[in-house]
Amino acid sequence: MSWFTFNLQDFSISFLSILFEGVPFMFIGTLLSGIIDAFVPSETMEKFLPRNQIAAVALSGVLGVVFPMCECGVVPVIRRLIRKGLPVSCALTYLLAAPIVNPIVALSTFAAFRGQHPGMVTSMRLLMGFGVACVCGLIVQHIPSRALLNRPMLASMRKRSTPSRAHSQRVHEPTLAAAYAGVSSERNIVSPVVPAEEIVHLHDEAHAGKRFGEKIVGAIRCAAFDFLDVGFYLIIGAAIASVFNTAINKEVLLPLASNHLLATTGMMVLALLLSLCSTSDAFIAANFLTFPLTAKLAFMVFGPMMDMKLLFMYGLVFKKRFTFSFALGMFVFVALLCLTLAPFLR
Amino acid sequence: MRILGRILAPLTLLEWGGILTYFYFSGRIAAFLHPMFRPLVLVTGILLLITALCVAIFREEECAHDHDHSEDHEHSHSHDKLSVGGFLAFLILFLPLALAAKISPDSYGANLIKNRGLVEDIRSIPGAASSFASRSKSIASGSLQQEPPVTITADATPSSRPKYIGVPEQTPLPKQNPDAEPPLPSNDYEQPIPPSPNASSPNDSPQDNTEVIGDAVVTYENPFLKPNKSGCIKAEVVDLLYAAQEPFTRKDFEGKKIEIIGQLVPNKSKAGSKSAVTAGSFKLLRLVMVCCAADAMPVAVKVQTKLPSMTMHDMQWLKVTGRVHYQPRSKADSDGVDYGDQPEPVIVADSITKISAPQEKYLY
Repeated sequence: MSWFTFNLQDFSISFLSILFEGVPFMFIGTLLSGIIDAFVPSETMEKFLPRNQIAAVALSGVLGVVFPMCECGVVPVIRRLIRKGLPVSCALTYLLAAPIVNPIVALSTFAAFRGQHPGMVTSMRLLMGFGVACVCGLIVQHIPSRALLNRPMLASMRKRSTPSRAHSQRVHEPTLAAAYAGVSSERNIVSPVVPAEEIVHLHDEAHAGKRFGEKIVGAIRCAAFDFLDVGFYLIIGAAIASVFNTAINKEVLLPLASNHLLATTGMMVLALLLSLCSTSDAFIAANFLTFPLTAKLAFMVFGPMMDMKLLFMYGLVFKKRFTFSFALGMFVFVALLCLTLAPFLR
Repeated sequence: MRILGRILAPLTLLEWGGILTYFYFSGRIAAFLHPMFRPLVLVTGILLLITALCVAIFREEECAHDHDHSEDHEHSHSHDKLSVGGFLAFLILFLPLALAAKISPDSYGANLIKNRGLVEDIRSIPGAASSFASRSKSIASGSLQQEPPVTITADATPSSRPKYIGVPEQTPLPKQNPDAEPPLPSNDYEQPIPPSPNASSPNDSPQDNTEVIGDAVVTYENPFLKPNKSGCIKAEVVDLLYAAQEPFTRKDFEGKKIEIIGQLVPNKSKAGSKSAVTAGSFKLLRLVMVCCAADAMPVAVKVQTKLPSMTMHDMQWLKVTGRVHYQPRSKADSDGVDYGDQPEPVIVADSITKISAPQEKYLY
């Protein structure tokens, strides 16, 4: 039995269906990002969040209940919100929690685990998602954003310290250039960005009193470039995910089921590779009947926070080194958490 | 950079919007997405087209004030490097989608089914089960008040029992059941087939809900599962599996004649062989989709047949009519899954017909 049989036609169906599924939500995200960019003044974020940092992180964790976002749409929004002054810790918490702690996912998880303790699984999934997101947020609070964010993001952050409230069109285009130039070309942007800081300042002051129509056009342009930025990584992620989605024989995973450690880590690697949407992954998890419940939980908690497409998309906000160490750290954290809980879940 | 922003970016958006709208209007989207998500594709497609136009029409010049710095800014990029990288990025954004749209067939092949593995337990597909549950709930409220009619009389089959214990000895296995033997259909089968007078109102009086097979009487008491004009209940693969875990619903199918469609999965398919034979037994497959084709799950039931074997393609769409029997699962092919005392549905086929693929290839 071969564990890997690639078929181009099956691959193309899976690839297209991931895109068709993801693109509308991604587009909603980028539109929202464009609107935030054009219409939300930078100071709103500070007013909105509680002063206490722990409370602020916890609030970001449950924000998904009110503003549900799936993982494809959340990245462009978060990128814009960080530029508008949302603390990185809160942004990261929302980024991780929103795809899990939201009513749609709760319902689909409940439906998927019918007959397999649905109430317990659903509440565990939401609680763990919230908990992991908050812990990550609180840890990130102690890391300076210089070490977290990538260069285009840092440049636009510096820009924000000026009192201007106009949009940042000048600044987001280097990021698009990064997307167009591929992952490795980040250094291309380095040199223009520093002088751009000055330019942006002037530019934004000139824009200060903009008309509504211009703002709309600005929002649409911004959404369009955001869409291409994120779409680039969605394509790469969807392609990698589809290879694993169609070519790997599921039977190779079945022997792992008897060992808690192997089952849990195996399911998490699978979640990373399959890159399913958080609304539907519960149905796939429930399908692994022979696997222990903890392994399925690990799959459903880790998957929405980190998968192939997200790994690439996070690169639009965070430094590459941070993204990878974060992915690794989260993997270990979620695995340990699930294995610790294993004796209590029967 | 300027070329990217002005030509390639709108072009890419135009392509994405165009493909999304095309897939919606051509109906090809049905092969990829749950009906719930399809309107989103149309809306996004149209909005992307509009966005592409906006980006193409409203250029940088729209910011009509004198900042010559913008030109300096753009010139400070290393031009050739960016344009190569930019062009590469453009290709990645542009080509895979177009190619996939071109080569993608409308349904998965046998290879995927092999890789995903067949699901034969309803607990894995509760989305499908819940839609059925709503049907059977209304049934329960309708007919449970009165004593539900005894289903099959002659053999004292387990359908009248509350539990499915001890069935193996007493249930006549389909093979031994002379009444259900397909090759020589008895006259009782033949009668309902000419659909003329009694077919138009087969359920007006209670006796129309019963069917006599040999000395067994089969009662179709479920008002939602009425036999059609050829005397068959239209069922789906998931219905049969759902009924396997619910003794009450199982009664709606046990011993009943059903009509079911699905794709052929031969029992022992040799790797690489394109043709499959329907001799002895095979599996009838439907793909169940939750959101999109990426999460499609192959769901199958077993079919037994005495019909002369036909040779056809793997994954050929078939219409099968026959009687359903629930029999205990053998430990050997459970793959370590604990099915409990849940029996397994088996269709004993009277007829197998090749059909063309239906419009909706997935169950939701």
